[in-house]
Amino acid sequence: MKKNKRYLIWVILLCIIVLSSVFAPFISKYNPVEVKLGNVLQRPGAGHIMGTDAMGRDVFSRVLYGGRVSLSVGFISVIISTIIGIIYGGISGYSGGKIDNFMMRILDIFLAVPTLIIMLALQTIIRGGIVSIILVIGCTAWIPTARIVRSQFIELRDKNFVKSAVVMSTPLWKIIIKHMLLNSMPAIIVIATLTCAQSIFMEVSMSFLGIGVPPGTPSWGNMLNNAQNDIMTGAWWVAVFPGITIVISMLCINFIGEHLKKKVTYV
Amino acid sequence: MISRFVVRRIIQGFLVIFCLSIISFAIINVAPGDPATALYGDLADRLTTEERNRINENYGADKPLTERYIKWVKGVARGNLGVSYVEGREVTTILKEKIPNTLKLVSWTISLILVCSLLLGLKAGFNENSFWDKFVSGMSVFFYSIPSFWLALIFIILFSVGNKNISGSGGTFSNLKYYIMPVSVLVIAHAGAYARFIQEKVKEEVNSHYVIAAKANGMDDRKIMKGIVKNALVPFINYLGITIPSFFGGSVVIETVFSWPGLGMLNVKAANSKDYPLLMGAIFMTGILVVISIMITDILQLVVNPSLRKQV
Repeated sequence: MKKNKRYLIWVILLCIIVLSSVFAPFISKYNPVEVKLGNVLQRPGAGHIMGTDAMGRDVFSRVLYGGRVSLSVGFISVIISTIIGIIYGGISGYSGGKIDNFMMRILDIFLAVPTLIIMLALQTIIRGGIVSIILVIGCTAWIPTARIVRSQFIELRDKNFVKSAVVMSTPLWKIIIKHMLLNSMPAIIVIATLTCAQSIFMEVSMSFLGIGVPPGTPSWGNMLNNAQNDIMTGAWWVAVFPGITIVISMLCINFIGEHLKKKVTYV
Repeated sequence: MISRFVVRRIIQGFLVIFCLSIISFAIINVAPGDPATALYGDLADRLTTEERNRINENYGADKPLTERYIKWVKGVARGNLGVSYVEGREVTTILKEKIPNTLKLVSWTISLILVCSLLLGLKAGFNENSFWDKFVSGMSVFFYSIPSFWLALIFIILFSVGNKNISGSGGTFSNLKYYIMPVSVLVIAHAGAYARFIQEKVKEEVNSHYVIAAKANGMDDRKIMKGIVKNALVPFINYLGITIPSFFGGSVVIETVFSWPGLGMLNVKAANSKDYPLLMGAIFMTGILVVISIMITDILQLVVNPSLRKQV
């Protein structure tokens, strides 16, 4: 019972973060992109809760608006990667045999390549734009999902209810969707949660390296990228507050994922 | 036979590197931008078409994709990775300067992570429900959620700004003090996950039937522990092999933060300046390093696990 409550805390925290970035205009009165050069690098205080950055922009409202970008990149790309993973893992797991073996070899190859480096290469082509970064992350983060779906499908294929469905000549799509996919859904949700944290992490890292979200748009990674120079002058707040927000939201998602994982014992 | 296993692994490794080279070559060559743009940046628009064509011809960028790939592969076979668009030097010379730095960073990090995670994980796994057990379970998720580069920024704020003793970045890398920050950041960010893994495996083993049977027979506790550790090490080495690519990926960010002149920073710099031969070479080298380290963990697994030896 006590464990259950602890997991609720993380859900509530995540909701607060998501809602406050959705309703950012109502919470912060400052424009996140408005440059005020008379107001540069203000310490956190009454006017600006989290201070201002090197261009006089309010850090608090940038954190809120940045959450919109970073979180939506994470959530949307996880949908893409889950769909790709389900299709790939599903085909591989359901067909089995040589096809399965071949598809898994390809996965091994993908696994041997550092994702961040493939992203670097990909991002040089479709540089700029939030859409392109969502696509890049979505198209590179599907491997764990594919593996889980495959192992689920292989396990389910040998279950008696699937076998009897085959005997009763149930249409193939019905077997795959109603029996296999629905039964692997708990495992897929767990892995999607963990991939979501990973995707946000990726967006933040890429923007931090300057190859992610376009520099003008506020995102958590971009803020940290800008902060690199400012901290040398002692302006710790420009780095600390966006970072803490990232850590808290990652913690929420990861702990929720852990909790779900414990519930779904066979993952 | 072990030798046959090793040969098969090497062939597999070559296959991986071959596919990686095709994928990255294709990706990079579809990218917009030519040598002229890489050399002159925004000023490239001022070049006349003739000048542009001459520059691109010099670098062989006017040929079709397949021809260029075959030329590149031929070059690689002779140990020639082409010439960097921006620096004008051989890619191999640039790589030779950078690789040792990354290797030093990664090997220091991995060995320290191994020590920390084994100590913590074993301590936690053998004492179920103790303080260490809960500590490792809780802290691993916590540290796992901290982006390593943010931790690096915090370290710079705490130790480097205004304090020149522990430098965040520097010119010469002979001195050990330059390692303190990047290595400790990487170790803190990763050790938790590995400790967690070991802890869970040890717990599984402790509660398994053979341990209970051995205990009931009055077997020496130390001998049991030795067996448990050995059995837990097998999946751990496997896990290490799977996660090694992310190390090289993670070092990209850390190298950039601490301006560590290694392969990772080279990757970012090459990608940002559209210096495609250099980017290609850097990706290729990273791939080779990853494949080699996966191979090492595979062979290690073979040494630790006798049942695997029977299979091959």
